Amino acid sequence: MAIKYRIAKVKLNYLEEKPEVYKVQQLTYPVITENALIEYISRSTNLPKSTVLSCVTAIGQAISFFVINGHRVSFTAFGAFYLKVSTKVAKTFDECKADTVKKTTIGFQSNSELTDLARRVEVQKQTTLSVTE
Amino acid sequence: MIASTTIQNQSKGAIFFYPKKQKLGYLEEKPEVYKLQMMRCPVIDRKGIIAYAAKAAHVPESTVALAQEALFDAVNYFCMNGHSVQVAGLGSFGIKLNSKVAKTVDEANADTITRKYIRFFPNGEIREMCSLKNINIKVNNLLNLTGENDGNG
Repeated sequence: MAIKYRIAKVKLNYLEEKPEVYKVQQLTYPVITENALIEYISRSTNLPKSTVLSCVTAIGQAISFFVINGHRVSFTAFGAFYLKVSTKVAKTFDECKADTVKKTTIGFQSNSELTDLARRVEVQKQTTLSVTE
Repeated sequence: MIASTTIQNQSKGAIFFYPKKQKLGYLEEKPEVYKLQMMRCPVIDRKGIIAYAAKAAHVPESTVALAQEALFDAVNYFCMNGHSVQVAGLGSFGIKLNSKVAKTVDEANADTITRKYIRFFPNGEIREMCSLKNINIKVNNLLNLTGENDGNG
């Protein structure tokens, strides 16, 4: 199955002449909600929905617990979750303190297999839609 | 003296940093500056997560392992088919395309796509937990890995 895209007209307002250009835009597919995902996993594993929900929630909580404590959580067949930190530079050693940390968030890095799979996904133009603005 | 960078983080929610000297090579004068670097904690693998989740959910480890494998297979399957997937307690995964701009409609086609990747977007709860106000940042100045004199001999 291919991912569909459309051509969208975009105005580059950050340039002085504000040119109009065209860009490939991915079409929005239905979101797989948490309930739909639990149901799918329950059907594929023959586990009760309540058990799947407990497991999935606990896995999510486990990942976030370890990441906020500075650990990198790695799944060989999927990818790794880690704490992403952005910091400011300091001119001297003494200025380099905790307040130079600007932002912390959780990041995800897919493994080579997943990255390769994503790269090989087919794309197809949605022929029924015209150029959108 | 270079000390080990791997430590076991004992304190809940505390992240340890150390100052590291860097040269900004992209500037003409190439100034030397200091930047905080996060100290590495041991990597947690699949087994560690399964053990933790099994205790939290009061479910056998084999069940959690089965659910975990099915979870990531499902995320993989739906993402490769273009869907965004919401995972409870974590966030959402989806496949994203990066593309170059084209001057004409005819030039805008699949060849302008420069990158396809899986993007993760943490949910509000996780973003809040990982935000600066909830994380205890500790700077270890004694662990001077730059080799400079830190005033303690």
